[in-house]
This record gives sequence, structure tokens and C-alpha cells, in this order.
Amino acid sequence: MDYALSRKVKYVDVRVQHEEGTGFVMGEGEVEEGGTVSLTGIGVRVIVNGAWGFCSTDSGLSKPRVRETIDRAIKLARKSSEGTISPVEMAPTKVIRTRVKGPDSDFTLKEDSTLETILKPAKDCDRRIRSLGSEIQASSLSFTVGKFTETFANSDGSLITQAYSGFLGTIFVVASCLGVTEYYPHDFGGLGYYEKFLSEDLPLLAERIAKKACQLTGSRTLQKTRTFQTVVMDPHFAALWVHETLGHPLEADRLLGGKGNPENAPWTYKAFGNKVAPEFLSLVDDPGVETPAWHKFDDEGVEAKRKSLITNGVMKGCIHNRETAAAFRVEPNGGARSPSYHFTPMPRMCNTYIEPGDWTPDAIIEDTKEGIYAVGGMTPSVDSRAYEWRISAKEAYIVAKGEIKEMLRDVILSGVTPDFLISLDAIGKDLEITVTPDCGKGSPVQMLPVGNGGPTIRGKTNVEGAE
Amino acid sequence: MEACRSVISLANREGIEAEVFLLKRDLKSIRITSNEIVEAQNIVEGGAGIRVARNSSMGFSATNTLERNSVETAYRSALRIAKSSARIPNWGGLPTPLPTSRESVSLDSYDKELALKSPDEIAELSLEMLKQVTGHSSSSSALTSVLIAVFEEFSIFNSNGLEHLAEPSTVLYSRIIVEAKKAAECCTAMKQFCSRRLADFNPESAIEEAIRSATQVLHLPRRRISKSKCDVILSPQSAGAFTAYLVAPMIVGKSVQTGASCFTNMSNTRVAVESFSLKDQGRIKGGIGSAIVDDEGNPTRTTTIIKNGLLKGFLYDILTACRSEESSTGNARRASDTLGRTYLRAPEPLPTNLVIESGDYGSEELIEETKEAVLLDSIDYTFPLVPERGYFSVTSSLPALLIEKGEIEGYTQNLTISDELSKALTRVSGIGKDIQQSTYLGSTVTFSPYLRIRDMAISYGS
Repeated sequence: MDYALSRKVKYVDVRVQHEEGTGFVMGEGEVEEGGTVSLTGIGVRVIVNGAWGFCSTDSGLSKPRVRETIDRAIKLARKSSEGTISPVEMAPTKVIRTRVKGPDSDFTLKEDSTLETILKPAKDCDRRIRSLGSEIQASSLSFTVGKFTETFANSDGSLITQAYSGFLGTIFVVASCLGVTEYYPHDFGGLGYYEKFLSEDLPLLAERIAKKACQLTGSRTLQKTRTFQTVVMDPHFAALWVHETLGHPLEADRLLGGKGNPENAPWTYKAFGNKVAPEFLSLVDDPGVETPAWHKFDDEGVEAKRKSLITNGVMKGCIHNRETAAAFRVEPNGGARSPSYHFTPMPRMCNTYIEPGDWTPDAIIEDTKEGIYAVGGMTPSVDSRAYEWRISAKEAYIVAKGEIKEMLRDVILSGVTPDFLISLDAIGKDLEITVTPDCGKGSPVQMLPVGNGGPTIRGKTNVEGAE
Repeated sequence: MEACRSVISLANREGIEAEVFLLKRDLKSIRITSNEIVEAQNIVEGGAGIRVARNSSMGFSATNTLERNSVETAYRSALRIAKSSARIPNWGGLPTPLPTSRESVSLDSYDKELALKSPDEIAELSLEMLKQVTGHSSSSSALTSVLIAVFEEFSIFNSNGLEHLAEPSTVLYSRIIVEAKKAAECCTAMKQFCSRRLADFNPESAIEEAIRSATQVLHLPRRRISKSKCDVILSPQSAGAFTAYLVAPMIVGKSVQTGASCFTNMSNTRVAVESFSLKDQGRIKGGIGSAIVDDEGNPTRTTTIIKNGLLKGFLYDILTACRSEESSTGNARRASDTLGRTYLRAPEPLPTNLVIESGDYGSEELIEETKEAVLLDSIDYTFPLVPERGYFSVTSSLPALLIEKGEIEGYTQNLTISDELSKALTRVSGIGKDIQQSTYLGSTVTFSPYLRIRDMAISYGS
């Protein structure tokens, strides 16, 4: 910091991070691949002549190396300022000096016994999956558990250290029967170290996924597209829908991008400030939820706040870094994130979800005369405005006369975001947060975990089968 | 380097097979939004990925602290993992030294001039691109772009005596989005560019082409297609995205073995028209995916994937090859999300350069002989919605040109196309002569011509 300030930068921030992680890919009850990672690095960001410059390094954090990193960032900012129309402005924020720790504890098992203990539930997963018989063609459980320490300092005087740990994983099962093959993936994750990971009932989850995959091989898909169909999304499907159609387009830098060509702007650009949903719908982005996206302070040292994005149907807020907060003339809300010291932070979702409503999920189904119940979002296809969307369901069911009936495979829901949003007529009480391990944004792309979710929701949109 | 050699010696003494993948990288990126530089990054990184095989069981560890003690600690971690790992069936060992001299292979993968460019010199290139757009005479235009320059150098050592030292490479990538305005009308065009050498970087023509495309659309009527099926022409850059996002995940050993690919159990069956052939070519001169060896030290090569419409092969690294009782195809890659390689991942089978064999059509000829079609120059964010069936759907927000009786008669926007991969490839009705190199998320590199596909399902969301 002292060196950077001696070089007369307007602003500087520094992030020093250390990460220790272990991960496995399990197949057929055995470790197919496993590995550990130990990383330390530094990212330096400066404002010079009204422009940003950023440089990161992990190749030996000696004093000369760090100074060289700072010099590179300064030189880059100086050159970039020749392509800057208006100087970078950052919204003011409190100076904070603190150390925080995530709500977890250290794993206490001896090093030698750790692997066996960790791998036991994973092996149990496979036993449960295989017990379902010959329809199981393949299955895999992959997971990583990591510990992170991040220290942030800036020229405003903030000095913050955050330490936390988290785990991420994916189970997938491929089942095949009479020429029909079904692939069923499921992501999971949480805040905490091994003991938290081990407290998850993964074998039960694996068995449920495997059973569903087997059932899907014996089900049919829809032959005809049904337009403006009543659809009920379970919390996991709603999570993916929220992520793609509401979360990303409410990251403030995307909204600002709409100043160029509103035709290519996210749909939220024109809708911002307006009523976009029924008044019983509210959407928040909450850094306090215990997923791997948990944080007390963002990567600009701003206290991370629960952000109200849609309140009683009105689109009122978005996810800010200090720069977008200045452009919107609002207080920063701690939404700047980056996956590591390697990258400059940008406005990113953490845990974005629809707040729970009044309905029990059973009541929503009982109240549905005819429709489709979509369970678990698999793959999204969304246009760059997040206006038109298509999402495949891991499983789906016909709903008739208030009851869940026949199971359907390979069902795709599609629609126009504002149309579906305004069509919502029931919000469940059953909020669940789903972890997406690898949300990508930016170029070069920055991949990081986010939590997304919602309760069961009901609205009207198009439904088709993938055939 | 010495720390890595020392770990290999240690492994040899302990009777363990070991491999060290050493990487150093320097990435510079400049992002412009609406005529303004908004982000300038320089990422300098380096580290080692260590794999060990003990009694045919494998473990991996990565570190970016390259002192002897740290590398040894990583080796011990990998060994501990290997003790818990399953025996790899048919394990034949890590690669042996190259049979031919490395000097005999010339790939033009490295450009010293580009490697030595400082971050501010890369920013200067971006500024020149910006000046070209803002100073353009034909219309009021705005530039949104990213320019990324990567220099990297990797070495592989293993206990079989393989020492592939310091293979350098460079990449320059740019994605250019130009908005052309006329009164209240605004149209957008996107062009991608990638090369190994600075001398091949010609942003002027890419920008000129983008401005011409965007301006052309401004003078065309906007229409909607009322049919549910239509012929679709994919330009080389959208055919590249089609290949990278939809075909590539289906042809790698891992997804084929698990059944998560629509091509599982389809070897030697027809998956495309006879005129369609697809290869993975690891040694194309100037190819962004080219290297002398793959990321575990096996020589790269050419693998036929689809030959005259018949599915012929898949891509393997050592591990997936062992599991399929095949040989490695030299496709072990440690792909970075941000172009090039990473030492943080163990290898997995991925394409090097995926090449669609060129056809007979010139681009103009293809359009002239098309009765009715939509021409898509840009598709993005295209992942298989139902991977085991190869079902995909993609919406292009950018304008797509409408072809009627061989002429461009209008444009349409926000069109969605949907299909099944193997069915779509059996309806390819025209393949262009000219091939364009592109690179996409996950560092997949494609060489693609124009592709015309009959009767694709199309729709609009609203």
C-alpha cells in the first residue's frame, strides 16, 4: 500500500489470498481422480488519471515481485486513461478494519484418517446407486472442500481479513433401459469444512437421484408444444430460472451496458423502476445465506448487504460495486465479487432468491386443474438480454385436477421473462437455496459459485418435449 | 525447474511413477464498453501440477509455490490421494520420451513479438481499434470489445525420462461488437478474431466487416418468419460456436463412457450427411489448439471423428483410453477457462483444433443458390439442453439475415433455433470452401466453414 501510494495513485486496493483445497471424482465406489491445491497470490487494483489498472501475480510474493505488480497496474491504468471518457468514480464507503471468520470450525480428524472418513459417504453413495440394478449405466460423485483466507486493504484505510471454508459437489447418474438413456445431475454445496460436508446425507440424495433417473427411462416425453400452459416450478427449477432471467440482468454493470443499444440491453434496462411482477413477489440477493457465496465483506471491502431487487412486484434495486453505485447515485451494497486474486471484481450475484410466499407446495398443486410440474432445472439457454429463456427440467409431471400424475422426461420450459413474471399467481412457503458451482461472467471469464433459489412458484408459459 | 527434477528423482527412488506439469502464463486483457475502456487486467501466474501413479492408482496435487519443499509437499499430497484411489484398468504407464526430435515439428505457435508486448502496449492496440470505430465515416458507431493476449510456456517431466521443456505459445483473441446507428435505429454485429501471431492481427478488417454488417442491416426491412421450420445458414463463426458448444462435449472419452453423449454406442453409424467430415488436428500450423505434445506428454496427432458422415472415433487422454481399452489420441488437456492452459487441473480429454472439412461452396454461391433461409452470424450460450439426446436450442439476439431466392431481403431478430445434433448433421445441405478459426469458452478451438442445414425448427419467444 505504501509503495503504491508513493507512486501517486488516486486509489489502490490489494487482495492477498490463500486457498487450500482437496477434491475427488468418485466412480463405481472408487476414487477415479483426486487432488489437492495450495495457492497464494495477490491482486492489485489502482486508479490513475481516472482509469482502472489491475495486475495479479502468484509467482512468488517477494517484495520486488509485488512492487513490479503494482508498477504494471499503474502503467496499465495510465495507458487505459487515454480510452476513458469519464473518470472512474467510486461511491464512498465506510473505512473498516476487522477480521471475520465464517460460521464453521476446523476439522479435527488426524490427517491419515481424514481421507478414509471423507470417502466413506462417497462410497456409500455408490452402493446405494448400484443397488438399484442393471439400469444404472454410470454414476459419479465429485466434490471439493476448501479453506480460504482473504485479506483486503485499500487506500481509504480499510483492512479486512475474512476466513471461511466451503464445499461444492456434483452427483450424476446415467440410467438406460430399452434404448432410452437419461442423464440426471445434481449440484450441492455449503459453507463449512469437512464436518459440514460429512453431515450432508449424500447417500440418501444419491439414491433419490438414481431412482429418478431409472424412472425417467420408462417415461414418455411431450410430443406437442403446449403454449401458455400452467406450470409449477419446484424450488430447484425456480432457482435456475431466477439465476438466468433475474439475477444476471440485475447486476448493475449489465444494466449500465444498456446505454449503448437498448435493443441489446438486458430486459431489466427498460423495466427498472417499474412494476414487473405481482405485488406478492419479492426478490433478494443475500450474502448471509450459508452457501459458498457467503461473505461479510465484498471484494472491495464494502459490507455486504441483503439487497432488495424486486419489492412487492416493483423492480427497485440491483447488485452494485462501488463504481456502479456511484453511477446510480446510491450507496454501495457490497456486490463486488471475483473468484480469486487473479481477477478484478465485478458486480455478481451471491445468493439470489424469491422470498417465500403463503402457499404450501401441496396447496399449489391441489389448486392446479391442469398443468406441468417441473422439478430441477438442468440446462439453460437464454438470450443475451435474458428476455427469452429455455430451461430443460430434470424431471416433469403432468398435473391434472389438483394431483401430480404421469412422469415426463426431457421436458423444456420456455418463455419471455416479463410475461412469465407477471403471470405468477402462487408463491410457496418452501424456500430452498440451490448452489450453482460454476457461474461464469466477464471476458476473460470469471467462474464462481453462487446460491440461487426460491420456493415453489406457479405461472404460465410454453412447454415442449425434446423430440 | 530443478525442484521439479528433484521430485522426479525422489519418485524414481521410491519406485513411484510421477509427472510434473510446469506452467508460466501472462495474460493481458482490455475490455471496452460503448467506446470506453472499462477494464484493464494483467494476470501473471505460474505453478506446477503433480501427478503420481502408485500401483496403477493416481493422485494429483497443484501448487504455485515452486520451492523444493513446497513441490515435495505437493508430491506427498498426490501420493496420499493415490493411496486412496482405484486401480486404473489396463494402466500402461505415463508417456515415454518423444520418438522424434521436437525441432522437426514447426507449428508457428509462438510469436516473440507478441510475447514481449507489455500490458500497456496491448492497451494501445485496443485504443487503435477504438479510434478506428469512433473515426469511421459511414455512420455513427460504438465499439464494445475485449482484446486478450496470452503468453504461456509449459514443461512436462516424468519418471519415464520424458522431459519436454519450455514449449512456448502465444494467443491473441478479440471479440468485437459494433453498434451502428441511423437516427433512432441501432443495429449490432459481432466478429471474433484469434491468431498466434501479432502480424496476423488485423483488427481493421474485422472492424470494417462488423461496421459493414451492422450498417447493412440498418438498411434492410425487419421481418418475422411465419414458418415453424426453415433452412439455416451458419456463418463460419456461428458454425464454430455450434461445433465448440454442441459437438465438442459429445466426442470426448469421458462423456461417451458415461452415456452422457448422444454419440454413445453409435460408432460406425451415420450421424451426418456423406459430405460432412470432422477431425481433431493437434498440429495445424497457427492453430490455437496446436502443440507438439498434449498436456501429459503424448505426441499430438490427427484423429478422425466423423468421416463421410459416419462416426469413427472419440478423443482420449491416457486415463479415459485405459478405461475404454483404447490408446490415447493425444488429447489430454488442462484447459483454462481463460484461454490456454492451467496447472490447477489434472488432464482431461478435450479437443485440440476441431476441423470441419471444407466443401465446395463459396459463401456468395451458397447464398445465391438458397431459395429461402436465415443466415446466423452469431450464436452464443449454446449448451445441449438434453445432452444424452444432443437436443439444443439457441436464441440469437443479434440480427439474422433473411435469404430469399438467393438475395438478402431483410433481417429478423431474437430467433430461436432448436434441433437434435445428430439429426441436424444429417440435413447439412451445403458446406463452404473457406475455413475460419475461432476459440470459445473452455478454450475449445474450431476451424469451420459456412454450413447450411435444412429444416431446422425455428420460433420466436414473443
